[in-house]
Amino acid sequence: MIDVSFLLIVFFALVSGISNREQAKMSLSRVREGVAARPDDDARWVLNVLPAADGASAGYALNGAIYPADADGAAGLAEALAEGYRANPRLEVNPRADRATHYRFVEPAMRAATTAARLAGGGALPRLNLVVEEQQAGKGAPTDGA
Amino acid sequence: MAREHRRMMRDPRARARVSLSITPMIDVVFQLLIYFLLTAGFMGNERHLRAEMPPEQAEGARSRGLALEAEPLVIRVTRGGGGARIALDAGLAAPRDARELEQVLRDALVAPDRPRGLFTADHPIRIVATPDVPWEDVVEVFNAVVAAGYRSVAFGGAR
Repeated sequence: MIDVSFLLIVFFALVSGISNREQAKMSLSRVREGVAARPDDDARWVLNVLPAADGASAGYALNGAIYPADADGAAGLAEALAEGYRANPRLEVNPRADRATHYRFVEPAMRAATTAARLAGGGALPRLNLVVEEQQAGKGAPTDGA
Repeated sequence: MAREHRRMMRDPRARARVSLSITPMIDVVFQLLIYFLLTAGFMGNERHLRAEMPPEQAEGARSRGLALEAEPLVIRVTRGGGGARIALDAGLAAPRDARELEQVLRDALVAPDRPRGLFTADHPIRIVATPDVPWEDVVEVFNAVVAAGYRSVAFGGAR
């Protein structure tokens, strides 16, 4: 029993580290139940659009690296994503953005994936999965505020 | 002192008394287990909506054009007083909200019971939002388009 407990501790310690790196704290957009798909097991990189006050963004987080939320940051992001596409042309990019973040900060992040696919060449196609939160039945309308 | 120790080790009754108490260790292990169980952040009810971006052409390829590609139906999202304002191209009525947009698009879809619909499910849809629109409103519009039955939905630039 003590062995199993140790194994569980190691598992949770590792998983919590990975989760923290991929999941920046934010309020995701909500969708009705049954519309969005469950995450699959394909290779994917989570691209966090870090939220800031008044719909602004504090930058983009990808694999532990932070890129500023400006043109230079988007260019750096595209370079980093291109590396991923070169390694795996079927890589999926999952943009996560706070529901209050303005579109001008989210669009460059998604655009970076398209630029990266072109930079990588080799027929890489940008596969984007918008990360949303499924509205549980009986917990209010999908458009509820944060 | 050393002699006394050797004598104790030779005596089986004295040796049995030397043992490691693992009870505190088990307590600590369980405390750690509970801590990690409570703090581990899992996916919860996160889900995915598959999206596309318009393909970016390499320099020099922009002028070639794609004559056979259907003209996308553009959905414009702007920030209004009480939420997002949605406008549609192709002479379709402007819906009041995402729910109404879903209905308008569903009515325009070619289906066995609506052979005179305007668009097939593969018709390209482009969502174009102004820079100050909250992401939630854009996702709502995207969600409505997907829910209406369209499969080729892409995001345009923020303008």
